[in-house]
Amino acid sequence: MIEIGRELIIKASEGDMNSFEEIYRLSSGFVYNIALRIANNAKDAEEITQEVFIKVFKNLKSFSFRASFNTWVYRIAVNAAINFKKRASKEENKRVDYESRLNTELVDKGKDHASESLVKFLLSNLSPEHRACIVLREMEGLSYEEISNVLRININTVRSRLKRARQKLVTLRKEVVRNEL
Amino acid sequence: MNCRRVKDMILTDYSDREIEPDQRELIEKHLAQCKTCRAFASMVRRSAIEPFIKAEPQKPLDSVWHRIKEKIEAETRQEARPYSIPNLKDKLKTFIYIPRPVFTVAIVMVLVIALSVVAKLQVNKQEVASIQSEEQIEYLVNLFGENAYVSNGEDVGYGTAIEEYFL
Repeated sequence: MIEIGRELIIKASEGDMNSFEEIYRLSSGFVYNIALRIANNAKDAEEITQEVFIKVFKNLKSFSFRASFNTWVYRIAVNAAINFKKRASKEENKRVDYESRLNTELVDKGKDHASESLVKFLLSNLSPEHRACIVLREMEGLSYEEISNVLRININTVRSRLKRARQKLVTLRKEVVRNEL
Repeated sequence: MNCRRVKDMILTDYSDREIEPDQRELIEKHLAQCKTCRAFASMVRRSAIEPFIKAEPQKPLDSVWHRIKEKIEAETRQEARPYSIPNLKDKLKTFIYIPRPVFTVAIVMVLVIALSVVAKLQVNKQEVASIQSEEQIEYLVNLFGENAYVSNGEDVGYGTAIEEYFL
């Protein structure tokens, strides 16, 4: 992942929209992916991405360069996505059910749809905190130490969340296989 | 290394390559010999790791950036007009502190509890005082007898023994 330069951050913090647009181009991919995987639907992911970048813009002046800029943005994104998810959990459940049904119909239309709907299905069975760990590790490729910095939790907590999430996914697969038989 | 420990490592450090080379070697040796752990490793890879690695990264639509830009610009314009209604509202908020209903209820409850405790303490104090004075009267009556305060003219004292000697 590209580390964003200090000069660009300073310019954006002074209100330069071109610099902020450059920051957005460099980091919107991972912000959107985190939002999409934690919220588990595209519409909410767009809303979360919007919320994250407005927050980043407002707080650029207070960014102290002690931590990496990407870690800071990751943290804002994960927290925004988890909070959003918790706020809208009831409505979300209804929509995921609907979307997963829709996606099952799309499975036949192509491999990409199938893998996408599988990811959605797997993530919908995890808590937002476990989702965050899985997404940061598997999809963003962050190390345990980087995840612990983003989530501000102990490395052993990262380890135990990943372990529990994966145990759940293994159990889920066993159940699916058993039901198919 | 036993199967339980190996399975724990498969679920975390081994699969995530967060492990020292000598530990990795130990686990691989175990996997070469243990069919159950090998099957478990394969299951973890297929059900909890590969689906996420295979998923394509997604990108937000261009409209997301346009919405962000519009919102930031609108807020910047708002800040540039210090006497607009929303800004005046914010400024007023800094001068007039209006506590949230939850805090107000909590403060009122604390005050009510504190007042009731103070009132109860006052009542207890009065009870203690009256008992004490009654006890004192009873003590005095027992000490000097019922006629302690009635002078019969014969045994009028002048105070202490020394005072009586001089008088």
